[in-house]
Amino acid sequence: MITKKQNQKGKFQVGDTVMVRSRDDIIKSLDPTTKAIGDCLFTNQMWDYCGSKHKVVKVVRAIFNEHRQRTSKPKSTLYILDNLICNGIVDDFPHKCDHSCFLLWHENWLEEIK
Amino acid sequence: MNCQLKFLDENSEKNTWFSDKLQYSMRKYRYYRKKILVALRSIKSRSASSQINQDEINEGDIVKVLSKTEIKNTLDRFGKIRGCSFLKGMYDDCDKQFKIYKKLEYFFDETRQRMLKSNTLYFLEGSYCDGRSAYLKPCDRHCFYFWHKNWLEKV
Repeated sequence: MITKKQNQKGKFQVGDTVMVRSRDDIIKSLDPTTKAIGDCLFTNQMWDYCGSKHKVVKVVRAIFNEHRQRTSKPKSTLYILDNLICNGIVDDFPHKCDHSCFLLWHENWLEEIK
Repeated sequence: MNCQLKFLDENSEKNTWFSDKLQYSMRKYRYYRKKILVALRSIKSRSASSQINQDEINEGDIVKVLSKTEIKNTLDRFGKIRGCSFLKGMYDDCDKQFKIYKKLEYFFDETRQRMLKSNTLYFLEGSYCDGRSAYLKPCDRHCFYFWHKNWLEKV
């Protein structure tokens, strides 16, 4: 549940409709070596959603790290969008992962629809 | 690397010393509380049911989650069934009907940092973790809950 105080921070709020920025805009925002902004990686499958409109389902301000067993804060506010789930195809994994994690979106990759 | 969570794990902001210590203490407290509870309950020596529901459940099927008491009967004294924990937030979904979103075959287990194989776990459409089990702040990852086959009944 998002509190009032939490809602005040961040560019977008739960329920807002946002559009994923174009490929060119996103490339400009990414670090050329890591393909990420800070700690948020832009994965290959996310290119498919450029230009599409989605609803913000959750504003991510804390993430529980199961490996280290502690909650930590991402470097910037991240967003979870409606129905955008990882397809599980990852180069490092021997099999397709069925974990179905929601993709994390940095605010620089999204723009508000007025 | 092409997994956001692995990347986040390696690059996320470091917690303060105090926050880390506090979370460590909370983890220890939960661990020992659980141990004491298990020791007290061990008089009854509950064990998880070894029989697995033989119904074939596939993606898209409608299932009903068993009631609280029925689920409790399937759990061992650690609140698990074959290593799959039943979390507090999952009690809210008891007695409700859901559509099967996915049957898990292989998934990356973050705790053990390796791929695991399964044939008894399912994700249900609309059954997400509320993050209350995390330490200090609620987790916003919005993951699906893992549902064991024995907790589901085909409608």
